[in-house]
Amino acid sequence: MEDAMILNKSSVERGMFHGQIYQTETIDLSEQSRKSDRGRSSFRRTVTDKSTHSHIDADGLPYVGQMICPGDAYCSIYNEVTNMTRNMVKKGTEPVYVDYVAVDVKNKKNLQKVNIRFRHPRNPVIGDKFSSRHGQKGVCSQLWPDVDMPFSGTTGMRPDLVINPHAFPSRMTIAMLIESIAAKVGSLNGEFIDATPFASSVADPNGDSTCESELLVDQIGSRLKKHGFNYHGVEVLYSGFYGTELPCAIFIGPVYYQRLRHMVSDKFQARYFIISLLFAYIHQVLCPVNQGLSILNVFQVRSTGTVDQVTRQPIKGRKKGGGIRFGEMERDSMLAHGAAYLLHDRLHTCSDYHVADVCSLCGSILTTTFIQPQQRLVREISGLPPPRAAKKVMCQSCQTNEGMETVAMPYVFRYLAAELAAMNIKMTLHLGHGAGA
Amino acid sequence: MDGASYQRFPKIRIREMKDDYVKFELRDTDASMANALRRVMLVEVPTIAIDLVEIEVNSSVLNDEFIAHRLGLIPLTSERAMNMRFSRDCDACDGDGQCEFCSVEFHLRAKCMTDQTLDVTSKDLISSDHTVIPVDFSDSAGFDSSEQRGIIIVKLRRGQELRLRAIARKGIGKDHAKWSPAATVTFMYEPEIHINEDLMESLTLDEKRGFVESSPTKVFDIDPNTHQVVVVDREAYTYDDEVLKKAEAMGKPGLVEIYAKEDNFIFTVESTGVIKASQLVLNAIEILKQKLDAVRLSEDTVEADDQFGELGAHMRGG
Repeated sequence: MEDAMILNKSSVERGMFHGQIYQTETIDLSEQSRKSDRGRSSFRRTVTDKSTHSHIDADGLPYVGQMICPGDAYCSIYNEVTNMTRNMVKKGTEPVYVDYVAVDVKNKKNLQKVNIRFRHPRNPVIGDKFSSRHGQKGVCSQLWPDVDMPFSGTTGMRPDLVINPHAFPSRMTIAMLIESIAAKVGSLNGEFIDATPFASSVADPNGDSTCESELLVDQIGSRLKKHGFNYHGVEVLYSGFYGTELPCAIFIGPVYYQRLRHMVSDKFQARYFIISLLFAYIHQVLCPVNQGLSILNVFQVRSTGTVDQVTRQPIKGRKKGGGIRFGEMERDSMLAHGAAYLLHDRLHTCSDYHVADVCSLCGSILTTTFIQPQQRLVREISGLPPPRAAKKVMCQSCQTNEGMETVAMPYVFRYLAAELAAMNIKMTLHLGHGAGA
Repeated sequence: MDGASYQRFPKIRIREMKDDYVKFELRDTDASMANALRRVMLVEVPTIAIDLVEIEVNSSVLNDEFIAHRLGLIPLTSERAMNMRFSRDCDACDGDGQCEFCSVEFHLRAKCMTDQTLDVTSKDLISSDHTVIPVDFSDSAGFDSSEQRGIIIVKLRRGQELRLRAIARKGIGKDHAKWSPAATVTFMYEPEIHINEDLMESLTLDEKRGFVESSPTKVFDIDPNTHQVVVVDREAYTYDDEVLKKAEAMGKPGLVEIYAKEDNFIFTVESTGVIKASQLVLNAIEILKQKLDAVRLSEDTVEADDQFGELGAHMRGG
């Protein structure tokens, strides 16, 4: 993908870009009891339920250094009035460690307020974002084994990180190239290189330059050459797979890289979507259902979960467990691939699939009403299970149930009819049999 | 073709050998073999490294995982590793890594009692096996050995304490970089440089000088007496094509011709110190042989024998 990068797996294993995120939770019992007004509570673990004792210490607080998986209890609160113990359960998707527990001792009598600091281990995984200092950010797409990385024949060095050269022409971040080549000279000489703009970084302070060219790159290049490296900072590399020389020389050098805060483990949503999509596709091929009307303003897509009240389409937003929008352009690409069943599944079956009753006489979908079956009570008294009677539906405007048909359609279509009706526009459907009717 | 054998007998000539460094020539084989050797040296030669850490007390500034990671990266002397078992296929202990055949136990107890910062180093790790100890770099680094106290794990201030038990196991670099015995393994093709003397004589001395200086590494030089361009160190050539470009820029293409000898390699091996570099090469060859044996004995190869006929027999060393 665009701006992907490859990290050296061994470098990562040796500690490159390792990190942790701290997250502090404050539990204030006095605040909680004031709100609910249900009496005094304190930190204490239960004696009856020993299952939580591996997580919670005798004081009702977690052990420092303890690993807590999602769904585990990490602190328990005892309510003195109801005589109940309530466990605080860790939410999230990844295990965390208890880093520190701080107690507020202002209240001398009993403990009311604690701070629990959690530590999320965040070592680099595929999908994490990294950047140089020139805005050349990218996403790690592979953790590549060290032996498979290309290596330099003279020094034996393998790269820590590989980026795509296409990141440069349009963005024109020349500074990154200069950083790389200057850092190479700097590390060969064991000295810093001044990066002040509009000033020569390698020339003598007296002003007399050792090189005839005033260009910084030329000055660096000639110094690189003195150390037996290529003038332009490129090196001949050998394939890690075959051990043969790569057909072109590679620009290689040290660049300062940093980790960015966008990490995949915070963006769990997308993966779930792909799995559900494939599953739905298989499902769809095996049991194709009747084709209905297809309306194209489908919004978010997801198999199960909360839906919007009005449109019955899945809601958006990761916090609420919503889906991911399958938009117009995605629709177009599906069409281009000829994946009509998949498209139908995404936009209809997995979204707001709805079977509506339509009156074929007047063509309305809004005037249909259910007729309450009358015999139901009698059956229930006699103790027999109620038979699954066919739904009786009739058209309110035609006052008959003769022309009732069921049509599969997106629920928003019904909503559209209702909205149009509110504007005094009547929408009628003409039903026919067979394809192309 | 009847009875023709494609088998070659590679030769090794050692040029330079130190404890943690070896340079040798590998002759009469091809890139696949050279690269296989490199790859085995990097990730398949077993070593011993700390794999399991049980932390009893840790009041230092670094958290438990951090210390465990640092412990894992400490090089341990691994001469024993080739004869040890992987803990996953150890019969004596059901693979839980608690027996002498597959694991080594370490203890570390450190507490700072003074106002001065206490460095907890690899020297503080007490091993249960005197053959597996943290690598001592003090003599090779050239520092005063009284000052050099091993690899720093963590620093403690007054009152801080670190107490832990660690289990070291045999492993290979493929599983985790901490088990890699090689710091650097690299090889290059031996270059063959031919100077076209007639064309070279047509150059002036200044042109010759320019030509010699066009190479970033010192491959060519000018003989002070005869003013002839001579090859002083052909192995310094890095295949950068600089001299060829220079020759072309001077309008004299074909001034020098440089070929890579396809079947001669110059290896440079640097060990991390866990085993001697020479031993690393020997172990790598041993493992490569074992891997080839596995191929030879597998059923697939027997089947393939029918398919390839003569070539199949050759593959099995016939």
